[in-house]
Amino acid sequence: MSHQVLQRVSVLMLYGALDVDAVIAAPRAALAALPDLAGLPLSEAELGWLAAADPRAFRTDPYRRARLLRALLEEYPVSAALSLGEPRALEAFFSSRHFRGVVLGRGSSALAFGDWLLSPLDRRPDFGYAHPGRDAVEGRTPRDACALLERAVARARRASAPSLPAGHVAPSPAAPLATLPAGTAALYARVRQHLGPAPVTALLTSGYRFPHATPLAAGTELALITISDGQAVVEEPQEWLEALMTRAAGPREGWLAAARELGAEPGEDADLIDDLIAQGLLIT
Amino acid sequence: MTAPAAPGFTERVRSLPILGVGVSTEYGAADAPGALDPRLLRAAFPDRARFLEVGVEIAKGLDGAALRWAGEGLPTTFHFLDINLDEPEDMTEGWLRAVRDAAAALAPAWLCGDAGLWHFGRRERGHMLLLPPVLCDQAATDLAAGVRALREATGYEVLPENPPGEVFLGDLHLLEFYARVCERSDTGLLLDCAHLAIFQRARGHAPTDGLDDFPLDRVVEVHIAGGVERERGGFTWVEDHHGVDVLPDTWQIFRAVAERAPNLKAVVFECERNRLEDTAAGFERIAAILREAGREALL
Repeated sequence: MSHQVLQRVSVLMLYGALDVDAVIAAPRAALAALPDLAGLPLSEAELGWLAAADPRAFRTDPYRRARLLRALLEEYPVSAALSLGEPRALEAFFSSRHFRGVVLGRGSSALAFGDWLLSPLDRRPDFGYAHPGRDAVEGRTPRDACALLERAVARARRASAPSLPAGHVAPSPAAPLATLPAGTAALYARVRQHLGPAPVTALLTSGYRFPHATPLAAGTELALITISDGQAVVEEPQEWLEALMTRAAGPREGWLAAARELGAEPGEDADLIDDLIAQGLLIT
Repeated sequence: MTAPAAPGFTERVRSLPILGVGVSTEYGAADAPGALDPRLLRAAFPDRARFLEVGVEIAKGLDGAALRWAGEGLPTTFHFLDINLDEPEDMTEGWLRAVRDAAAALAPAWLCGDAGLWHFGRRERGHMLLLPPVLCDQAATDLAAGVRALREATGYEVLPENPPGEVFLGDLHLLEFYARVCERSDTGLLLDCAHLAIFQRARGHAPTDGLDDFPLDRVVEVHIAGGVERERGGFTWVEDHHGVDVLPDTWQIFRAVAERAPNLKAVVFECERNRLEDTAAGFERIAAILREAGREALL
């Protein structure tokens, strides 16, 4: 179905992810210049249709990128706030292999945006950090730490529950435990509060004073992520909850036994597991 | 013993109701300041809102205006806004389940919607694209398969619609392309006259070029909408604006179709974000053309 590939190439052109003039002037050569596009199965006829197009027709919508970027910022407001203090730098995402992968495959732009934020390969030379280098902890800057957290939230929003055998219980993929650099959850909460109830509006407001990142301590922390009324809730799990949430899927009896090992009295074990199921932390 | 053959389009179309002239809406449209309220329009001019075409994006659901209309048992059609029909993987069981639920609430006469690219990648916020398909033979085959699959999965007639666009790739005329889609999926067409006018201009054709060779008995519904001529960087195109200023090309196409499409059952004036009083001239012209074409049953 190469017509679908051709249409997706045209989507990349509409987003300015490819050099429209270069593609229309010499489609095969322009696509071959990018390793991930070099082998696209396009016929000579299809390349000819591209070459016959008016390049100006791909530039009629000046806000196409902005609409998608706005949706992405809604999911990564803290990472964006800690990136340069200049959200326009985030437009480099559209020139990345991550964005091309979303368009050409059936990927998630939100997850790909998180991957791109965390990938050093696609950063432009001028794409730096609020505090380059100085705050790096275990290889992660504060911005990257928050990107890890927001990507985990994005994954939780999109998680689909696996089909379990009857009588089995498992941690919900929509309520993951994320391992983060120590201090990430507190930093995230502080910046998120700084951004207020309409974070994207704040990010896009001219003259907005962007928050400074707090230096992170060494080590790691665990964060339990849940989605409540569409909003991410990030909490440090108690030890007993951490122990349960890191268990593998299995028969309900095993979960009851684990609850008892963690201190639940006989009779309370079932209530505890049922309560976690009702809260959406466990699935059946 | 062999199972009886399923009825073809020619038989099925006879059982579809004549809806007449209606208006469209989508989530939140009726709540916008100054926007058209379909129920007020129907109260004031019943012949201008005999049915409501509800644009449905499953992630948003149905708004109060649509639910109130359907709750009164008034006629509807279900216009999908989020399915790439040529991608089998886009028709997920979860999406289908939600479509069936929404259809149960609306009780539509049929499903319809632009047969193009609504989104890339997974169905996510910010992806709303609506691009026309590549106008080639294989794309017609793949879209037809999607139309059949959706019809079989929902039990409703599915009418593909020709989308608007600024870039039309492929070697077929848009009407030739959708004639193949209709034939291969054995279905009818929702012909958007404004979108066709956009295509004809983009390709340098006259407004009604290609209609003589198109099987007009496939046209079950038409859309009329205002368009705005735009210019950027020396390139001119028509934006599918949904205002009340309908281009002469669109009227010309509508008249030709009204005169020659025997199975035409529904006409939508897409003017959902306009004030009721501003829509009068458009409705009056639609009625005049239908009368002149001898289509009083649609009034």
